[in-house]
Amino acid sequence: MSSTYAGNPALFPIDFPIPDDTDPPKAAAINPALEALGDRTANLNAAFGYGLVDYQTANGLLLGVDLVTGGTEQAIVPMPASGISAAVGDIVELSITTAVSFRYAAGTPTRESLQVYFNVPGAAFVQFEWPPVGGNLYQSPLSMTGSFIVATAGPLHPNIVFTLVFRSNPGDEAKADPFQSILKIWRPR
Amino acid sequence: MTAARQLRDQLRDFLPWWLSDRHYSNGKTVAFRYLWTMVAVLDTYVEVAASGLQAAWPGRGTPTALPYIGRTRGILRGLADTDDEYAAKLRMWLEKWARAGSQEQLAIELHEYLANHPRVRIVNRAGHWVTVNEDGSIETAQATFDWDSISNPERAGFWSEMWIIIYPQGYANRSGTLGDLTGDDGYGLGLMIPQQHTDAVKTLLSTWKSEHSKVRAVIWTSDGAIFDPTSTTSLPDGQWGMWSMNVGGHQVLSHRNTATCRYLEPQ
Repeated sequence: MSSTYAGNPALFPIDFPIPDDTDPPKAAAINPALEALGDRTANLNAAFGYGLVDYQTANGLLLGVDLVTGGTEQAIVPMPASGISAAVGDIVELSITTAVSFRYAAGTPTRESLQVYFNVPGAAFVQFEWPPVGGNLYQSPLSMTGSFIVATAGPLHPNIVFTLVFRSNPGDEAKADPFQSILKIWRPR
Repeated sequence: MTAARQLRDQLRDFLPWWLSDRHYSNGKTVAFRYLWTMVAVLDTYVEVAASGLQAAWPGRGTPTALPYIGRTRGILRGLADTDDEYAAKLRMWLEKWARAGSQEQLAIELHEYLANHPRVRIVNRAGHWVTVNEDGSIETAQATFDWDSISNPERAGFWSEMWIIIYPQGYANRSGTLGDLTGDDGYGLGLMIPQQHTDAVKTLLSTWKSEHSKVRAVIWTSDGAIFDPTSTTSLPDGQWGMWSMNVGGHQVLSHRNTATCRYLEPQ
Protein backbone atom coordinates (compact mmCIF):
# COMPACT_ATOMS: atom_id res chain seq x y z
CA MET A 1 0.00 0.00 0.00
CA SER A 2 2.97 2.26 0.06
CA SER A 3 5.41 3.71 -2.39
CA THR A 4 8.83 5.27 -2.08
CA TYR A 5 9.44 8.96 -2.61
CA ALA A 6 12.91 10.43 -2.63
CA GLY A 7 11.88 14.09 -2.62
CA ASN A 8 12.72 16.70 -5.23
CA PRO A 9 15.72 18.80 -4.16
CA ALA A 10 14.86 21.46 -6.73
CA LEU A 11 11.71 22.49 -4.88
CA PHE A 12 11.06 24.18 -1.57
CA PRO A 13 7.29 24.64 -1.29
CA ILE A 14 6.24 27.91 0.31
CA ASP A 15 3.17 26.24 1.75
CA PHE A 16 1.26 23.01 1.48
CA PRO A 17 -2.10 21.61 2.56
CA ILE A 18 -2.38 19.55 5.70
CA PRO A 19 -5.43 17.42 6.38
CA ASP A 20 -7.93 17.71 9.17
CA ASP A 21 -10.68 15.46 10.40
CA THR A 22 -13.17 16.68 7.83
CA ASP A 23 -11.14 15.51 4.85
CA PRO A 24 -12.16 12.33 3.05
CA PRO A 25 -10.24 9.22 4.11
CA LYS A 26 -7.96 8.70 1.15
CA ALA A 27 -4.32 9.11 0.34
CA ALA A 28 -4.92 12.31 -1.64
CA ALA A 29 -5.84 14.03 1.61
CA ILE A 30 -2.65 13.02 3.36
CA ASN A 31 0.17 12.65 0.88
CA PRO A 32 0.57 16.22 -0.46
CA ALA A 33 1.93 17.37 2.88
CA LEU A 34 4.28 14.40 3.10
CA GLU A 35 5.53 15.02 -0.42
CA ALA A 36 6.03 18.72 0.31
CA LEU A 37 8.06 17.90 3.40
CA GLY A 38 10.04 15.36 1.40
CA ASP A 39 10.85 18.06 -1.16
CA ARG A 40 11.88 20.48 1.55
CA THR A 41 14.11 17.89 3.22
CA ALA A 42 15.76 17.01 -0.08
CA ASN A 43 16.20 20.71 -0.80
CA LEU A 44 17.87 21.34 2.55
CA ASN A 45 20.05 18.31 2.11
CA ALA A 46 21.21 19.50 -1.27
CA ALA A 47 21.73 23.05 -0.07
CA PHE A 48 23.92 21.98 2.80
CA GLY A 49 26.37 20.39 0.40
CA TYR A 50 28.60 18.57 2.83
CA GLY A 51 27.76 16.28 5.68
CA LEU A 52 29.87 15.63 8.76
CA VAL A 53 30.99 12.01 8.59
CA ASP A 54 33.50 11.84 11.42
CA TYR A 55 35.23 13.94 14.01
CA GLN A 56 37.85 13.68 16.70
CA THR A 57 38.52 15.90 19.66
CA ALA A 58 41.70 16.25 21.66
CA ASN A 59 42.97 18.26 24.54
CA GLY A 60 46.61 18.98 25.16
CA LEU A 61 48.98 20.91 27.34
CA LEU A 62 51.61 23.02 25.78
CA LEU A 63 54.50 23.77 27.99
CA GLY A 64 55.94 27.18 28.07
CA VAL A 65 59.22 27.67 26.33
CA ASP A 66 61.79 30.21 27.25
CA LEU A 67 63.36 31.43 24.12
CA VAL A 68 66.79 31.97 25.38
CA THR A 69 68.32 31.97 21.98
CA GLY A 70 67.34 33.47 18.72
CA GLY A 71 65.58 31.40 16.13
CA THR A 72 62.72 29.03 16.74
CA GLU A 73 61.43 26.84 19.50
CA GLN A 74 58.87 24.12 18.99
CA ALA A 75 56.25 22.40 21.10
CA ILE A 76 54.83 19.28 19.48
CA VAL A 77 51.65 17.61 20.64
CA PRO A 78 50.23 14.53 18.95
CA MET A 79 46.51 14.28 18.42
CA PRO A 80 45.06 10.77 18.38
CA ALA A 81 43.27 10.39 15.07
CA SER A 82 43.31 6.63 14.66
CA GLY A 83 40.21 5.19 13.03
CA ILE A 84 39.40 8.28 11.03
CA SER A 85 39.39 7.76 7.30
CA ALA A 86 38.87 10.26 4.56
CA ALA A 87 37.82 9.85 0.94
CA VAL A 88 38.95 11.81 -2.06
CA GLY A 89 37.05 15.08 -2.11
CA ASP A 90 36.41 15.17 1.61
CA ILE A 91 37.12 18.36 3.43
CA VAL A 92 39.24 17.96 6.54
CA GLU A 93 38.76 20.78 8.94
CA LEU A 94 40.99 21.38 11.92
CA SER A 95 40.48 23.96 14.62
CA ILE A 96 42.46 24.78 17.72
CA THR A 97 41.69 27.03 20.64
CA THR A 98 44.30 28.16 23.11
CA ALA A 99 45.95 31.31 24.42
CA VAL A 100 49.43 32.48 23.77
CA SER A 101 51.61 34.69 25.92
CA PHE A 102 54.65 36.38 24.65
CA ARG A 103 57.20 38.71 26.18
CA TYR A 104 60.15 40.00 24.43
CA ALA A 105 63.24 41.09 26.25
CA ALA A 106 64.30 44.20 24.50
CA GLY A 107 64.39 45.92 21.22
CA THR A 108 61.77 46.02 18.56
CA PRO A 109 59.48 42.99 18.34
CA THR A 110 60.00 42.18 14.74
CA ARG A 111 60.47 38.46 14.68
CA GLU A 112 58.10 36.89 17.12
CA SER A 113 55.34 34.85 15.62
CA LEU A 114 53.47 31.65 16.23
CA GLN A 115 52.91 28.98 13.64
CA VAL A 116 50.63 26.00 13.99
CA TYR A 117 50.57 23.21 11.51
CA PHE A 118 49.67 19.58 11.32
CA ASN A 119 50.72 16.87 8.96
CA VAL A 120 48.35 14.60 7.08
CA PRO A 121 49.50 11.90 4.68
CA GLY A 122 48.63 12.67 1.13
CA ALA A 123 48.19 16.36 1.67
CA ALA A 124 50.41 19.32 2.09
CA PHE A 125 50.71 20.43 5.68
CA VAL A 126 48.40 23.16 6.75
CA GLN A 127 49.93 26.06 8.50
CA PHE A 128 48.60 29.00 10.40
CA GLU A 129 50.70 31.91 11.34
CA TRP A 130 50.11 34.33 14.09
CA PRO A 131 51.89 37.52 13.20
CA PRO A 132 53.58 39.94 15.62
CA VAL A 133 51.18 42.41 17.11
CA GLY A 134 53.57 44.65 19.03
CA GLY A 135 54.08 45.43 22.70
CA ASN A 136 56.52 43.85 25.03
CA LEU A 137 54.12 41.70 26.98
CA TYR A 138 50.82 40.49 25.79
CA GLN A 139 48.53 37.54 25.98
CA SER A 140 46.05 36.73 23.34
CA PRO A 141 43.38 34.11 22.92
CA LEU A 142 44.03 32.12 19.81
CA SER A 143 41.36 30.35 17.81
CA MET A 144 42.28 29.15 14.38
CA THR A 145 40.64 26.96 11.80
CA GLY A 146 42.03 25.55 8.63
CA SER A 147 40.96 23.00 6.08
CA PHE A 148 42.04 21.17 3.00
CA ILE A 149 40.49 18.87 0.43
CA VAL A 150 41.67 15.29 0.58
CA ALA A 151 43.45 14.15 -2.56
CA THR A 152 44.33 10.62 -1.44
CA ALA A 153 41.82 8.35 0.25
CA GLY A 154 42.70 6.41 3.35
CA PRO A 155 43.05 6.65 7.10
CA LEU A 156 44.51 9.80 8.49
CA HIS A 157 47.82 9.60 10.27
CA PRO A 158 47.37 8.09 13.74
CA ASN A 159 48.92 11.14 15.24
CA ILE A 160 48.23 14.43 13.63
CA VAL A 161 50.98 16.54 15.06
CA PHE A 162 50.42 20.08 16.12
CA THR A 163 53.57 22.00 16.08
CA LEU A 164 53.88 25.42 17.57
CA VAL A 165 56.86 27.29 16.36
CA PHE A 166 57.97 30.47 18.05
CA ARG A 167 60.28 32.66 16.17
CA SER A 168 61.93 35.08 18.47
CA ASN A 169 64.84 37.18 19.52
CA PRO A 170 67.19 35.98 22.27
CA GLY A 171 65.77 36.43 25.75
CA ASP A 172 62.16 36.43 24.68
CA GLU A 173 59.65 34.24 26.49
CA ALA A 174 56.65 32.50 25.04
CA LYS A 175 53.98 30.17 26.38
CA ALA A 176 50.90 28.50 25.04
CA ASP A 177 48.06 27.54 27.35
CA PRO A 178 46.37 24.12 27.37
CA PHE A 179 44.48 23.82 24.14
CA GLN A 180 41.41 22.18 22.75
CA SER A 181 41.22 20.99 19.20
CA ILE A 182 38.75 19.25 16.97
CA LEU A 183 39.22 17.52 13.66
CA LYS A 184 36.22 17.16 11.35
CA ILE A 185 35.75 15.36 8.07
CA TRP A 186 33.05 16.70 5.75
CA ARG A 187 31.91 14.67 2.78
CA PRO A 188 30.00 15.91 -0.29
CA ARG A 189 26.39 14.79 -0.35
CA MET B 1 -14.43 -44.93 -4.10
CA THR B 2 -11.22 -44.16 -5.91
CA ALA B 3 -10.26 -47.69 -6.95
CA ALA B 4 -12.21 -48.67 -10.05
CA ARG B 5 -12.76 -52.27 -9.05
CA GLN B 6 -12.33 -53.70 -5.64
CA LEU B 7 -10.84 -56.94 -4.43
CA ARG B 8 -14.08 -57.85 -2.70
CA ASP B 9 -15.89 -57.78 -6.02
CA GLN B 10 -13.35 -60.06 -7.66
CA LEU B 11 -13.11 -62.55 -4.82
CA ARG B 12 -15.72 -64.88 -6.29
CA ASP B 13 -13.69 -65.32 -9.46
CA PHE B 14 -10.76 -66.95 -7.67
CA LEU B 15 -12.35 -69.30 -5.14
CA PRO B 16 -12.93 -73.08 -5.38
CA TRP B 17 -16.55 -74.07 -5.08
CA TRP B 18 -16.28 -75.23 -1.50
CA LEU B 19 -15.07 -71.75 -0.37
CA SER B 20 -17.44 -69.76 -2.54
CA ASP B 21 -20.65 -67.98 -1.65
CA ARG B 22 -23.24 -70.81 -1.84
CA HIS B 23 -26.13 -68.80 -0.50
CA TYR B 24 -28.46 -69.87 -3.29
CA SER B 25 -27.39 -73.53 -3.55
CA ASN B 26 -27.03 -74.95 -0.08
CA GLY B 27 -26.81 -71.81 2.14
CA LYS B 28 -23.19 -72.46 3.18
CA THR B 29 -21.49 -69.02 3.27
CA VAL B 30 -19.27 -69.09 6.36
CA ALA B 31 -15.98 -69.66 4.52
CA PHE B 32 -16.81 -67.00 1.96
CA ARG B 33 -17.72 -64.43 4.59
CA TYR B 34 -14.50 -65.21 6.45
CA LEU B 35 -12.41 -64.55 3.33
CA TRP B 36 -14.50 -61.50 2.37
CA THR B 37 -13.72 -59.85 5.72
CA MET B 38 -9.99 -60.24 5.18
CA VAL B 39 -10.16 -58.93 1.63
CA ALA B 40 -12.23 -55.96 2.77
CA VAL B 41 -9.27 -54.83 4.88
CA LEU B 42 -7.02 -55.08 1.84
CA ASP B 43 -9.51 -52.96 -0.07
CA THR B 44 -9.01 -50.22 2.51
CA TYR B 45 -5.29 -50.14 1.84
CA VAL B 46 -5.81 -50.16 -1.88
CA GLU B 47 -8.18 -47.22 -1.52
CA VAL B 48 -5.65 -45.27 0.54
CA ALA B 49 -2.91 -45.96 -2.00
CA ALA B 50 -5.11 -44.99 -4.93
CA SER B 51 -6.31 -41.79 -3.21
CA GLY B 52 -2.78 -40.79 -2.39
CA LEU B 53 -1.74 -41.31 -5.99
CA GLN B 54 -4.64 -39.39 -7.46
CA ALA B 55 -4.39 -36.52 -4.98
CA ALA B 56 -1.65 -35.09 -7.16
CA TRP B 57 -4.00 -34.97 -10.15
CA PRO B 58 -6.07 -31.75 -9.89
CA GLY B 59 -9.69 -32.43 -10.73
CA ARG B 60 -9.29 -36.19 -10.23
CA GLY B 61 -8.02 -36.53 -6.69
CA THR B 62 -9.26 -35.09 -3.45
CA PRO B 63 -9.86 -31.32 -3.48
CA THR B 64 -8.16 -31.05 -0.09
CA ALA B 65 -4.86 -31.39 -1.96
CA LEU B 66 -5.52 -28.36 -4.19
CA PRO B 67 -3.93 -25.76 -1.87
CA TYR B 68 -0.70 -27.78 -1.76
CA ILE B 69 -0.61 -28.31 -5.50
CA GLY B 70 -1.33 -24.62 -6.02
CA ARG B 71 1.52 -23.66 -3.77
CA THR B 72 4.02 -25.88 -5.54
CA ARG B 73 2.87 -24.76 -8.99
CA GLY B 74 2.72 -21.07 -8.02
CA ILE B 75 -0.95 -20.67 -8.87
CA LEU B 76 -3.00 -18.54 -6.50
CA ARG B 77 -6.61 -19.56 -5.96
CA GLY B 78 -9.11 -16.97 -7.14
CA LEU B 79 -11.37 -15.40 -4.57
CA ALA B 80 -14.45 -16.92 -6.21
CA ASP B 81 -12.94 -20.13 -7.57
CA THR B 82 -14.82 -23.38 -7.03
CA ASP B 83 -12.79 -26.52 -6.55
CA ASP B 84 -13.37 -27.47 -10.19
CA GLU B 85 -12.33 -24.03 -11.46
CA TYR B 86 -9.19 -24.01 -9.35
CA ALA B 87 -8.34 -27.56 -10.43
CA ALA B 88 -8.69 -26.47 -14.06
CA LYS B 89 -6.23 -23.61 -13.42
CA LEU B 90 -3.80 -26.01 -11.83
CA ARG B 91 -3.90 -28.26 -14.86
CA MET B 92 -3.07 -25.20 -16.99
CA TRP B 93 -0.05 -24.29 -14.95
CA LEU B 94 2.57 -24.90 -17.60
CA GLU B 95 0.63 -22.87 -20.17
CA LYS B 96 0.36 -20.04 -17.63
CA TRP B 97 4.02 -20.05 -16.77
CA ALA B 98 5.00 -20.16 -20.41
CA ARG B 99 3.55 -16.64 -20.69
CA ALA B 100 4.79 -15.35 -17.36
CA GLY B 101 6.32 -11.89 -17.50
CA SER B 102 3.96 -10.61 -20.19
CA GLN B 103 1.43 -7.82 -19.67
CA GLU B 104 -1.22 -10.19 -20.99
CA GLN B 105 -0.64 -12.94 -18.44
CA LEU B 106 -0.44 -10.48 -15.56
CA ALA B 107 -3.77 -9.02 -16.61
CA ILE B 108 -5.27 -12.51 -16.85
CA GLU B 109 -4.07 -13.43 -13.38
CA LEU B 110 -5.59 -10.29 -11.84
CA HIS B 111 -8.81 -10.80 -13.78
CA GLU B 112 -9.09 -14.38 -12.58
CA TYR B 113 -8.12 -13.70 -8.98
CA LEU B 114 -10.59 -10.94 -8.17
CA ALA B 115 -14.04 -12.16 -7.25
CA ASN B 116 -15.89 -9.94 -9.73
CA HIS B 117 -13.55 -10.92 -12.62
CA PRO B 118 -13.19 -7.26 -13.62
CA ARG B 119 -11.86 -5.76 -16.81
CA VAL B 120 -8.12 -5.33 -16.35
CA ARG B 121 -6.02 -3.00 -18.49
CA ILE B 122 -2.27 -2.78 -18.40
CA VAL B 123 -0.39 -0.04 -20.19
CA ASN B 124 3.32 0.56 -20.21
CA ARG B 125 5.22 3.80 -20.69
CA ALA B 126 5.65 2.97 -24.37
CA GLY B 127 1.87 3.10 -24.78
CA HIS B 128 1.25 -0.59 -25.37
CA TRP B 129 -2.14 -1.52 -23.97
CA VAL B 130 -3.46 -4.97 -23.10
CA THR B 131 -7.05 -5.36 -21.97
CA VAL B 132 -8.65 -8.47 -20.50
CA ASN B 133 -12.38 -7.87 -20.61
CA GLU B 134 -14.88 -9.09 -18.06
CA ASP B 135 -15.79 -11.99 -20.34
CA GLY B 136 -12.13 -13.00 -20.58
CA SER B 137 -11.55 -11.77 -24.13
CA ILE B 138 -8.28 -10.00 -24.79
CA GLU B 139 -7.65 -6.81 -26.75
CA THR B 140 -4.50 -4.86 -27.47
CA ALA B 141 -3.97 -1.26 -28.53
CA GLN B 142 -1.21 1.27 -29.06
CA ALA B 143 -1.85 4.77 -27.70
CA THR B 144 0.33 7.31 -25.93
CA PHE B 145 0.02 7.20 -22.17
CA ASP B 146 1.37 10.33 -20.47
CA TRP B 147 1.29 9.86 -16.73
CA ASP B 148 3.96 12.26 -15.53
CA SER B 149 5.89 14.05 -18.29
CA ILE B 150 5.09 17.43 -16.70
CA SER B 151 5.00 16.58 -13.01
CA ASN B 152 8.01 14.25 -13.10
CA PRO B 153 10.04 14.79 -16.26
CA GLU B 154 12.95 12.97 -14.67
CA ARG B 155 11.04 9.73 -15.22
CA ALA B 156 10.98 10.07 -19.00
CA GLY B 157 13.54 7.30 -19.33
CA PHE B 158 11.79 4.87 -16.99
CA TRP B 159 10.78 2.67 -19.90
CA SER B 160 10.05 -0.39 -17.81
CA GLU B 161 7.16 1.12 -15.85
CA MET B 162 3.56 0.14 -16.31
CA TRP B 163 0.15 0.92 -14.91
CA ILE B 164 -2.75 -1.40 -14.17
CA ILE B 165 -6.35 -0.27 -14.28
CA ILE B 166 -9.10 -2.41 -12.76
CA TYR B 167 -12.74 -1.71 -13.44
CA PRO B 168 -15.13 -1.93 -11.83
CA GLN B 169 -13.25 -1.81 -8.59
CA GLY B 170 -15.34 -4.42 -6.78
CA TYR B 171 -14.85 -2.79 -3.41
CA ALA B 172 -16.61 0.23 -1.95
CA ASN B 173 -14.86 3.53 -1.40
CA ARG B 174 -14.34 4.24 2.26
CA SER B 175 -17.03 6.61 3.43
CA GLY B 176 -16.91 9.27 6.11
CA THR B 177 -13.95 11.46 6.94
CA LEU B 178 -10.47 11.11 8.35
CA GLY B 179 -11.94 11.90 11.74
CA ASP B 180 -14.02 8.74 11.57
CA LEU B 181 -10.95 6.52 11.39
CA THR B 182 -10.30 4.60 14.58
CA GLY B 183 -7.48 2.13 14.55
CA ASP B 184 -6.82 -0.47 11.89
CA ASP B 185 -9.96 -2.23 10.73
CA GLY B 186 -8.10 -4.40 8.25
CA TYR B 187 -9.12 -2.47 5.14
CA GLY B 188 -7.32 -0.03 2.89
CA LEU B 189 -7.45 3.69 3.48
CA GLY B 190 -9.37 4.84 0.43
CA LEU B 191 -10.84 1.52 -0.63
CA MET B 192 -12.58 -1.05 1.54
CA ILE B 193 -10.36 -3.83 0.26
CA PRO B 194 -9.29 -6.38 2.88
CA GLN B 195 -5.61 -6.44 3.65
CA GLN B 196 -5.27 -10.07 2.54
CA HIS B 197 -6.71 -9.20 -0.88
CA THR B 198 -4.21 -6.37 -1.22
CA ASP B 199 -1.42 -8.70 -0.24
CA ALA B 200 -2.61 -11.26 -2.78
CA VAL B 201 -2.68 -8.65 -5.55
CA LYS B 202 0.84 -7.56 -4.64
CA THR B 203 1.90 -11.20 -4.71
CA LEU B 204 0.40 -11.62 -8.17
CA LEU B 205 2.24 -8.51 -9.36
CA SER B 206 5.60 -9.71 -8.11
CA THR B 207 4.96 -13.24 -9.38
CA TRP B 208 3.71 -12.56 -12.89
CA LYS B 209 5.31 -9.30 -13.98
CA SER B 210 8.67 -9.51 -15.63
CA GLU B 211 11.57 -9.02 -13.31
CA HIS B 212 12.76 -5.84 -14.99
CA SER B 213 9.40 -4.08 -14.98
CA LYS B 214 7.94 -1.88 -12.28
CA VAL B 215 4.28 -1.32 -11.56
CA ARG B 216 3.93 2.39 -10.93
CA ALA B 217 0.32 2.17 -9.82
CA VAL B 218 -2.68 -0.12 -9.69
CA ILE B 219 -5.74 2.04 -10.26
CA TRP B 220 -9.13 0.83 -9.09
CA THR B 221 -11.89 2.82 -10.68
CA SER B 222 -15.64 2.87 -10.72
CA ASP B 223 -15.66 4.82 -14.00
CA GLY B 224 -15.58 2.43 -16.93
CA ALA B 225 -15.00 5.22 -19.46
CA ILE B 226 -11.65 6.53 -18.28
CA PHE B 227 -8.23 5.22 -19.31
CA ASP B 228 -9.63 4.39 -22.72
CA PRO B 229 -6.82 4.13 -25.30
CA THR B 230 -9.20 5.32 -28.03
CA SER B 231 -10.12 8.52 -26.18
CA THR B 232 -7.30 10.94 -25.40
CA THR B 233 -9.52 13.03 -23.14
CA SER B 234 -9.95 10.03 -20.84
CA LEU B 235 -6.20 9.72 -20.28
CA PRO B 236 -3.82 11.43 -17.83
CA ASP B 237 -2.38 14.79 -18.88
CA GLY B 238 1.19 14.32 -17.70
CA GLN B 239 0.51 15.72 -14.24
CA TRP B 240 -0.43 12.55 -12.40
CA GLY B 241 3.03 11.54 -11.24
CA MET B 242 2.60 12.27 -7.57
CA TRP B 243 -0.25 13.09 -5.27
CA SER B 244 0.73 16.74 -5.35
CA MET B 245 2.90 19.10 -7.32
CA ASN B 246 4.56 22.44 -6.94
CA VAL B 247 2.83 25.32 -8.71
CA GLY B 248 4.42 28.71 -8.22
CA GLY B 249 6.06 27.55 -5.02
CA HIS B 250 2.82 26.26 -3.54
CA GLN B 251 2.15 22.56 -3.07
CA VAL B 252 -1.21 21.69 -4.57
CA LEU B 253 -3.05 18.51 -5.50
CA SER B 254 -1.91 16.97 -8.74
CA HIS B 255 -4.35 16.18 -11.54
CA ARG B 256 -4.92 12.63 -10.35
CA ASN B 257 -8.53 11.57 -10.39
CA THR B 258 -9.39 11.06 -6.75
CA ALA B 259 -13.14 11.10 -7.26
CA THR B 260 -13.64 7.79 -9.05
CA CYS B 261 -10.20 6.23 -8.68
CA ARG B 262 -8.24 4.67 -5.87
CA TYR B 263 -4.56 3.88 -6.16
CA LEU B 264 -2.30 1.10 -4.99
CA GLU B 265 1.36 1.97 -5.46
CA PRO B 266 3.06 -1.30 -4.69
CA GLN B 267 6.74 -0.35 -4.67
